[in-house]
Amino acid sequence: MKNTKKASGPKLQNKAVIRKVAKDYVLKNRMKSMVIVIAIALCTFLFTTLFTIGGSILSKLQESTQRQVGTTAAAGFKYLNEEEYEKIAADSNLKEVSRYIPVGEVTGTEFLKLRTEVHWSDEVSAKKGFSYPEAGKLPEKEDEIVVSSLVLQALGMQTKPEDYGKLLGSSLHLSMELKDQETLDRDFTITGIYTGDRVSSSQIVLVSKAFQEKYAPTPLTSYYDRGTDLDEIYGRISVDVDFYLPFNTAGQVASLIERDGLNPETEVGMNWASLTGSMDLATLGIVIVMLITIFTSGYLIINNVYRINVYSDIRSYGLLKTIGMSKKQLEKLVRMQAGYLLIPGLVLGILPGILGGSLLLPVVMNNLSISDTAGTNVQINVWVLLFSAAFSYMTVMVSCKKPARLAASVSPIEAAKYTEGVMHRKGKKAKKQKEQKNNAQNKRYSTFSFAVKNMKRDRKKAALVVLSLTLSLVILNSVYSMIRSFDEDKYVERFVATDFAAADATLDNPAVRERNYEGVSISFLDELAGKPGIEDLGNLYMEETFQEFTDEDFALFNERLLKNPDFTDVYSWDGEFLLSKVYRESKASPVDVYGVDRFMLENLKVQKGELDMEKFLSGGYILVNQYHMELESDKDMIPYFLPGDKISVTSNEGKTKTYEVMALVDIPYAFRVQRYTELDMQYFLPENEYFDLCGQHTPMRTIFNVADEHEAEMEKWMKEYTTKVEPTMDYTSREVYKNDFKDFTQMILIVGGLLTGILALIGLLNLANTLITSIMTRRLELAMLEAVGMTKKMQIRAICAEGLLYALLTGIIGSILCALFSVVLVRNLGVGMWYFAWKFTLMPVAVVFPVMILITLFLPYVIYKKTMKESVVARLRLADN
Amino acid sequence: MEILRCEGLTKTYGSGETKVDALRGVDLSVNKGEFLSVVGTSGSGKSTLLHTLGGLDRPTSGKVIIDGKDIFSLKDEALTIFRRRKIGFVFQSFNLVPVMTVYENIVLPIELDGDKPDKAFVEQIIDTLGLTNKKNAYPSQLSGGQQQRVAIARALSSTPAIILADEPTGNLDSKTSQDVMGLLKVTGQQFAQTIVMITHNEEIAQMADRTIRIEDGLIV
Repeated sequence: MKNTKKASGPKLQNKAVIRKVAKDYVLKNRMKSMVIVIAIALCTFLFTTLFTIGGSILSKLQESTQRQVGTTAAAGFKYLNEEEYEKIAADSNLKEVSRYIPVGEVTGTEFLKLRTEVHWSDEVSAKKGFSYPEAGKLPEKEDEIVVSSLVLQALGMQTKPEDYGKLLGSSLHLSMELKDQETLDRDFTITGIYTGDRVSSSQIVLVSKAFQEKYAPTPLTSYYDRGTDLDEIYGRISVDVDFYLPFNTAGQVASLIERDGLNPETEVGMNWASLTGSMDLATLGIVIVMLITIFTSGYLIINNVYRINVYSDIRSYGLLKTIGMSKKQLEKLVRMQAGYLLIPGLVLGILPGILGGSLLLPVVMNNLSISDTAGTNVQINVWVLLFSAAFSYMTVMVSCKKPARLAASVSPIEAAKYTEGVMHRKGKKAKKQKEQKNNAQNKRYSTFSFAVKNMKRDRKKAALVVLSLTLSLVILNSVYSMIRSFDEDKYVERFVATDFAAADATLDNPAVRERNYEGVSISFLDELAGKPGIEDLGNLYMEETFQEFTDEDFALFNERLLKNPDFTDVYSWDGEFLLSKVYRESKASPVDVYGVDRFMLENLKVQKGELDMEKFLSGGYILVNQYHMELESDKDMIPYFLPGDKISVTSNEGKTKTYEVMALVDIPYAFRVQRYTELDMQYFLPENEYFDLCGQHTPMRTIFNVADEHEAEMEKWMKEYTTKVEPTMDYTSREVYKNDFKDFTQMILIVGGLLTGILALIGLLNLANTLITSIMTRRLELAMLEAVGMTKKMQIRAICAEGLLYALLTGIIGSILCALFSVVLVRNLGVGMWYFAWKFTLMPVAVVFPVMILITLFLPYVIYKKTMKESVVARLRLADN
Repeated sequence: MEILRCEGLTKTYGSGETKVDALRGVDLSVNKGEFLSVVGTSGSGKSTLLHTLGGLDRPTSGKVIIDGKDIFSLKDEALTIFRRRKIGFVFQSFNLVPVMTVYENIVLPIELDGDKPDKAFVEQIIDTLGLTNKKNAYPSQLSGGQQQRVAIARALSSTPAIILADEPTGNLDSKTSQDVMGLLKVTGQQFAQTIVMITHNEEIAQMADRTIRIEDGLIV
C-alpha cells in the first residue's frame, strides 16, 4: 500500500500554475489567439447551421407524424374506467399522465371527408393532442365546444388565425352520433379554436366535462372484464403517459401494466412518431457520412491551426521543459489554451449559426411537404445547441491532441533550433538515403525541385491541405453536376401537360390519405367557362373500385399477368403473399375507373390496338392500361387484357356492364391520380358511359389550355379562386412548376454553395496556415539562404511555387475525384429521379482552378512579405541565442 | 594585394536611452590569402563587424570595399547576388538546409547563381574536408563537426573573394574545434582563400596568421 503511494507520488497542486501560464500564452499571442478563435467560431458556425436545419426538419417531421398519430404522448392506454385511471395517475414513475374521453363523432355530409371525433380532454391531453385552443379556452358549460379551423372550413366558414377571436362566442350547429348510436342535433357555443392539420387522421371537437358526463358517462365496469359489453368505447377513458426515459417504450409499458395492476390485455397504443423508429438504415448511413464529413472539415481547420500554434511556440515550450515542466504538464498547457479559446469561439459561432440556419431553413423547407401547420420558423432546441457545442468541443479536443503531444515530446535542445521537417525525418533515414542516392548528383537546384522538397517535409500536412481543398471542389462539382442533370422540361411536363389544371387540394398531396376524387365544383366550371381565351378543356372523372373478375376475365388476367414469369420475377419477393392472398383467392383487384371526355382521350397514349374516337364515344368499348414492370420506363409492359377481350366492369353503385377492349393506353402522370396501387390497373370509359355506370360525378381533374395573351390573367384568377373562393381546390400551371423547379434547384444551389463556400474557406485557411507555418519555422533557414546568396526574389519564387504545387495537386486529385463522384455518386443518386438526366461535367473545376492558382500564388507572396520584415541579421540571431 | 578594406565603420542600434553603439569607427584592411582572426568578448561588436563586412547588415556610416567594390552602393538584391559570388559564410550554428543532401548544400550557392558546379573542384573540396562518404547524407544525419565541415565546403565551393566565419567552432567541443580549425586553415591555404574569422576563444584565434582585438566597437 505504502509503496504504491510512493510510486505515484503525492498529488501536486499545480493546476493553478498551468492555468496561469496557459492564460498568459493566450493573452500574449493576441493575433494567434484570434486566428484560433475564428477557426473555432467557423467550425461551430458550420455545425450549428447544419444542426439547426437538420434538427428543425427532424422535429417538424416528428410533429407531422405526431399529428397523424394524434398525440405527442409516448403511449396511450385505451378504454379504461375511473378506477384503472386512478391507478396510473397515482404511479410516481411517470413523467406525465393525461386523459381524454371519446364521446362521439360528428356526422353530416360536410364531414364525410373530414373525420371528426368528439372528446372531452383535460388540459394536458388537449395540448399533447394538438387540439388546445389557440384562441379562447377549453369548454366548461355543457353547450361549449372547441373546434379546429378545418371543421369550421368544412361548414363553409372562412378561417384565418387572426379571425379566431371574432368567431369566439358565436354558435355552431353540429350533428353527432353518440353512445348506442344515439344522435344529437344541437347548437353549441364556440369557446376556443385551434388550427387543424389535414395530416391528422381525424379532427377533434372538444366538449365540456358536463357534456361528457351527460351523454357518455364513464362506466364503472372494466372493459377488460369478460362479459361486459365490449363494443362500447364512448365514455371510456384514454390515458396518455410520458415516461422519463424516451426509449424502450414497449418495455416501460409492460412494466407499468404489471406495477399498477392493470389487466394484461389492456389495449395500448405506442407512439410510432418516436424518433428512433422512423429512421431507416439508408438515411442513417447518409446522416453518419454527413456527420463524418462535417467533423473532418472541422478537424481540418482546427488541427492545422493548432499545429501552427504549437510550432511557433515550440521554442518557449522547450524552455518551459528546461526549467522543469513535465510532459504531462505541457500537454495540459496546450489543451488548456484550447479551452480558453473555445468559449469565445463557441459564442461567436453559435449565434451566427442559428441565424444562418434560420435564413436557410425556409429555402430548404419550401421543398419538403411535411404538413399544413409546419411553418418555416426555426425550432431552436437546446439540444441542438448543446449538440453543436459538444461537437465543436470534441473537434477542438481531438484536433489539439496531436499538437499537444508534439509540444510535450519536444526536447529542450532541439526546440531551440526547431525547423520544420527535421524532426519527422529521423525514422526514415535508410529509405531516404537510398532514394536520394540515385539522383543526388544529377538533380540541380531549381525553383520547382526546391518547392517539391519543401512540400515533402511534412507529407501529412501537405495531404491535409490538398484534401481540404479537394473536398470543397468535389462538393461544388457534385452539386453543380446534379443541378445540371435536372431536366426542367421533363419535370414540368410530368406535372402539367396543359397550361392549367385544377383539382381538389388533397388529390396530389402525398401526405394525405383520404383524397377527394370529385374536387372540381360545378360553380368553378361555370365561372371558368366565362373566362376568355380558353382553347381546350377536358374533364377527368374517377372512382376507385374493387373489381371481382368473372371466371373468364380472371382466367385471362391470371394467364397473362399472374403466371407470367417476367411478372413473378419482379414480384418474387412478396409475390407469394400478394398473388395468392389478394388476387388468386379473391379473384379481384383494385381498379381505378376513369371517365374521359374527347380532349382527355386525345391526350392518352395508345400503346396497343387502335383508338377509333367516334366508335369509342358511341359506347360499348373500354380502354385499359398495361402493367408496368418498372414504373418509369415504357418498356417491359405486360398487358392485363388485349384488344378484343370482353371484360365486365362493376361500379361502386353496383351496376355491372360488359365492354370490349378497344386499345391499350397509358395516361400521362400529370392527369392521373398521382399514387400507385400494387398492380395499378386502370379502365377508361367515355364520359357518358361513365356517368351511366357510376352515377353523376363532378370531375376529379379539369385541364385546359389558354391563349398565350390570357395566360397571366388566368394565372391570377386561378390563384385567387383557389385561395379565396374555394380554398379546398388547388391549381397547377406550367408557371407554378417552373417556379417549383427553380425553388428546388435553388435550394440545392444555396445549401451546396454554402457548404462549398465554408469548405473552400477552410481549405484556404489551411493553405494559408500551412504556408505561414512553413515560412515561420523556416525563417532562420531562409535567412541563411539569403546570407549565402539566395535573393528575396528567388525565395518568393520558391515559396509561390510551393503554393502552386498545392493548387496543381488539388487540381489533379480534385479532377479525378470529381469525375469519380460524378460517375459513381451523382449518377446513382439520380437513378430514382425521373426528371434526372445525368450529364458529366467538370466545369466547376475548370472555373475554380485558375482562381485557385491565382490565390495560391498570391497568398504565399503576401505571407512572405509580411513575415520577412525582420532583417537577415535579426533572423540569423535566432539560431545563436 | 588588398582584397577587403573598411573605413570609418559605425553602427548604432536604437536611439535615446536604448541607444547602443556597436561599432564606433572601425578601419581595417585585409590582404588576399590572409587568415585574419578578430577576437573580442561578448558584446564587443565583433559579430556586428562581421555582418557588416558580409553585407548582411548596413552600417550607420562608413564604407566596405571588397575586391574593389563599395558593397553598400549596391541595392539589396544586387548585394545578395554579390554575396553569393564573392563572399562565403560559415556560421556558428552551421545553417544547412535540412531538406538538401550534403552535396546539394555545398553546390547551392553556385546553382543559385545559375552556374554549373565544377564537379572536379567540388569533389576535391569534399575530399579535402573528409566528406566523401557523407555526400548523400542529410544534415540531420551528421555530427556537429561534420555539419561545420559541410558549411566550410559550401563557403569554398563558389571560390569567393573572402570567407567570413562567425564563431565557427562555437557549437563544437574542443577536440572537434581543433580539427575544424585545422581544416579551415589548410583548405584556405590550398585554395588560396582569404578568411576573416571572429571568435572569443584566444586559443582558436592563435591559429590565424594575424589577430586583431575589438573592444566596445573599436579595434585596439
